Amino acid sequence: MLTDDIGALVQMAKQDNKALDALIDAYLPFIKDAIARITFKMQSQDDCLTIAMLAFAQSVRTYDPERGTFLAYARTVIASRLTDEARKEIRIHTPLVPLTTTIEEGDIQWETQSAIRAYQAQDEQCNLQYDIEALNIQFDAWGFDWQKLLKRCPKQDRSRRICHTVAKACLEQKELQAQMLLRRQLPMRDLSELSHVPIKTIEKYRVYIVAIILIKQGDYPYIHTFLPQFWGEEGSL
Amino acid sequence: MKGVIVEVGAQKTIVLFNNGKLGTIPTRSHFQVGAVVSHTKKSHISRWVSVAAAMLFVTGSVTAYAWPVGTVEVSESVALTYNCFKRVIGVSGCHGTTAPLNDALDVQHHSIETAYQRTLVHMDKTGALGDTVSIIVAQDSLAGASDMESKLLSLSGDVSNTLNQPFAVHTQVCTRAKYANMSEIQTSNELATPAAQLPFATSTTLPTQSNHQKCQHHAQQGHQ
Repeated sequence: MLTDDIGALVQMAKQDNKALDALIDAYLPFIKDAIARITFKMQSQDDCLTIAMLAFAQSVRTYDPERGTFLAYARTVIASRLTDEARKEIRIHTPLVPLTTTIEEGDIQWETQSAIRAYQAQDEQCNLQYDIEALNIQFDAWGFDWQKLLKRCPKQDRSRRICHTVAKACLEQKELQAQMLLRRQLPMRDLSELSHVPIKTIEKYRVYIVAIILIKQGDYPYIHTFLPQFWGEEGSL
Repeated sequence: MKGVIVEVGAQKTIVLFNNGKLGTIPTRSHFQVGAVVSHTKKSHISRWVSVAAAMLFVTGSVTAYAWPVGTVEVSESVALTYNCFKRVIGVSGCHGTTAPLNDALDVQHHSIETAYQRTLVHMDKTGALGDTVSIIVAQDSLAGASDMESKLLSLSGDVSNTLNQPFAVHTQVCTRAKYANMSEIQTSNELATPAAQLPFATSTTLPTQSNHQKCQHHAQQGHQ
């Protein structure tokens, strides 16, 4: 799927969130590679990956085929976004106030760039909001909400990894996934056999595992960027 | 750590962090669902350091408060022990009169100046305030003891004016180590000598100045 029909895939992802989600998943190694080339010390790898995935989604929406290849464009957008975030973190406590009163070309450019950035941030927030609202409906159908999810969320990183392993096992078995969505019931016994995780553990974190599966299998490309990708692991989702 | 706000409550906001964890942060007015927030987690080490520092501060304060730095003995009958904050942390009378003295004076945790004034007033009430009041100021540093001595002298004048009863004040400044030796000698002398009149209304008695001096003299001779 990679570079051959990337233009067509990007055009499809512009219209369809599910296609965008799939595109982000497929190009995760590319995103990680883009981050590896431009990582700032003050940013953690998880933060970089989240920012980069959001930037990738933004590059899909704003890509113009007449201006070059998509991957070069996406790499530039990711690099710019990471640089911007790094600068923002440095400036966060020391805002710069321009002392000049005359309007120059540089000022206009700066204002334009700021306006674009503000618009993009707002746009991103709207997209995340839509994802969360759609997820709320799904969660409601399954009989839980964010409050319940907060209570059942694993506190330990190791436990969360186990939950992601179970979710991955479910997502890889399409039949199992379809059965789960149809019955609105987590097939714990099957998942336990597939992932070699005790049923008790699956039962304990049932709500969290269901939430991961719903986010991963649904059309939520933006909220998806906030799920851990388990950096550098082969078993990443 | 980056996170996205998934639910905004009145007090707490639920955030999905990019490590997959759901957490809460205090709600702020500008929070909206879908907004990306950065959250810095306090490390456990810094938390423990804060707790340790707080405990050290509390322990240090309590120790400093309870640590005696000086004693003021008034007319060889009552010893007021004070701390570095010049607060009375102990009242002791000769011959086991501590409990009645504590009740009568009620100077515990008051400033040493107030305690001294109350002692003189109480002595006046009980008729124990004679023409002469002898004070021994014992402190680790002699400079501090001298300061205390001058304060007490000034207070004695005020009390004398208030009570309208003139009395002479004899003061003695010494280190606490020397004062401890003097007290030991006094105690051994009191066990050997018959009871004299005590200024406070108790059954125990206090040695006179002459007895005390005699005792010191005997003790010195004994040592020789």
